[in-house]
Amino acid sequence: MTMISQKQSMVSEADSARAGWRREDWTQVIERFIPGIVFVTLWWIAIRFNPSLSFYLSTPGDVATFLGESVSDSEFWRNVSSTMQATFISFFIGSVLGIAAGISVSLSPRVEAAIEPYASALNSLPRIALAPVFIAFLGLGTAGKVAVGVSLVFFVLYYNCRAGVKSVDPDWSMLARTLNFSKRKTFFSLLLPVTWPSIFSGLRLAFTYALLGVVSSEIVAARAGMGQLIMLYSAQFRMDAVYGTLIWMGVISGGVYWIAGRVEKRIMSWK
Amino acid sequence: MRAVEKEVSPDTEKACSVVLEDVSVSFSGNPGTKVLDNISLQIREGEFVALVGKSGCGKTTILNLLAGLIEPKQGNIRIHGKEAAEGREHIGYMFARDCLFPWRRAQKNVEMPLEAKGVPAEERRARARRELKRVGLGNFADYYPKSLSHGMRQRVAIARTWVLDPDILLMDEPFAALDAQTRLTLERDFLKQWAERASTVIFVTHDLPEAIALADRVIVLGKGKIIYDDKMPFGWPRDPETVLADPRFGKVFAEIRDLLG
Ligand SMILES: Nc1ncnc2c1ncn2[C@@H]1O[C@H](COP(=O)(O)OP(=O)(O)OP(=O)(O)O)[C@@H](O)[C@H]1O
Ligand SMILES: [Mg+2]
Repeated sequence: MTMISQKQSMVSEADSARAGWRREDWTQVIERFIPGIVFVTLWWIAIRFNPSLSFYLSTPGDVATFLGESVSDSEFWRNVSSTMQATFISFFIGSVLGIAAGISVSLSPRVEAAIEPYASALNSLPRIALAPVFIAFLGLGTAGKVAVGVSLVFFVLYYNCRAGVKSVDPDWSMLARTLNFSKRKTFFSLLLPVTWPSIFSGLRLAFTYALLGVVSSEIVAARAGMGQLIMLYSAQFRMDAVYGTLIWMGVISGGVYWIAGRVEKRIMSWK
Repeated sequence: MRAVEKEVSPDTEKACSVVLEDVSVSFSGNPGTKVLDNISLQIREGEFVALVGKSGCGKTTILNLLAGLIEPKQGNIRIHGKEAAEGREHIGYMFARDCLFPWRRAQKNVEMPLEAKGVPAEERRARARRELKRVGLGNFADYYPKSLSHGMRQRVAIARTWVLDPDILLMDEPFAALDAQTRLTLERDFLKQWAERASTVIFVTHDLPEAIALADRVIVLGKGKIIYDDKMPFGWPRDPETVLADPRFGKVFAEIRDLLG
């Protein structure tokens, strides 16, 4: 009985997926736009009632114009690409180091006892305060920003990895022992698969943190980048451009987050 | 209560798959109390032994000893006439929880013990597939545990235990978490497989009727000692349900229940 009903429910799920989008799906999409529309409307109303506010708030129309023009502004994209390049590099370096450190610390309680106090002390430092130091050592180019980004990304992965390793069920370890798993086999067949979901959610967050580190560092000082653009525009009181740049940032990092979510769903289909 | 002869002659030891001699166990957290107190026990090749007793009386501890998960404080364990560490080669251990790895499909879960033994991939697949068929899950090899029912998951765990062709099977309340109907089905299937394979089974359960219905011999543990050890009068082949209706069942049941208090 159970087998039959289970099979049927799987089939019907597959069927509905094939049938394409139903009305509920469309209502869902529309519902997602409602908060955005409400926000822009309130923004617009505020300016209608008190036009002097547009000095700080700009106007939806001006921001839209900036966004439109920015698409073909090569100077703007040079800065975007400088920021993104640094973001990806710090994402990559920070993740690799964080995962490696997180796993090796979890494998040895002695290494953990030695390193953990320093790790939590370092992690509690406001990293933006380190930016001037990194920039002084590494210069106004990519290296300085990357260092700030890495200092954030590293800890995200380090702590996620450790939480993941801790989530190994004692029953699974016992099974591994009764099956005489070697150290290597236990690592690859138990520890890594268990940790993988936490690593992945760490990676998803890490991109946002990499961007945070890089842009903060650019705001302190840099030769190019979106952080510098924001500083420049706000010094000139070009609020439309400030908001426009922020929107681009949101779109890019939100997009990466969304894509990572899709990939995660694929990879973690067993969940 | 009939006591079982304690002396182990070299001849009988050969025919024994498991021998415990004056084994005591205590844990480091509480070294004063002996969880197992000077226990001696012989289990013959192919015997189906049920181990019952109150919660915390040391049933799981005995299985863990045999599986090598813990070491005895005193005494000696021999498996197939050899030192425990050597004789332990082909032991299967099954828990109350299925312990399936959720990121592996049913098939891959069953293959796992073979992977650890370095069996080539081709043979692994074939053997795992065969075991899944035997437990009636031939069509579910590619399912992840999350899309299997409770009973189906437990059957995958049984397949995973059988796949090594264990000559000694340790089972710790394997059917405890199942509903009565599923449980009876699995018990029947299990008896059938056991009859085909002739493994020694040590079966821990809280459920006295289950112990009496399934086993050749029932051992009761109390306060770290064996307080009952006797053969069951029902022959083979048998069905767990008909044993419950057997007039002799009531007598055995009453006798053991009084011991359990
Ligand atoms: N690792 C351990 N450390 C300390 N004490 C332990 C340990 N494992 C078991 N014990 C103790 O040994 C005793 C027997 O435990 P065991 O798990 O063998 O009981 P059990 O008969 O299987 O009980 P149940 O029927 O509840 O599963 C218990 O009192 C328990 O507290
Ligand atoms: Mg137990």
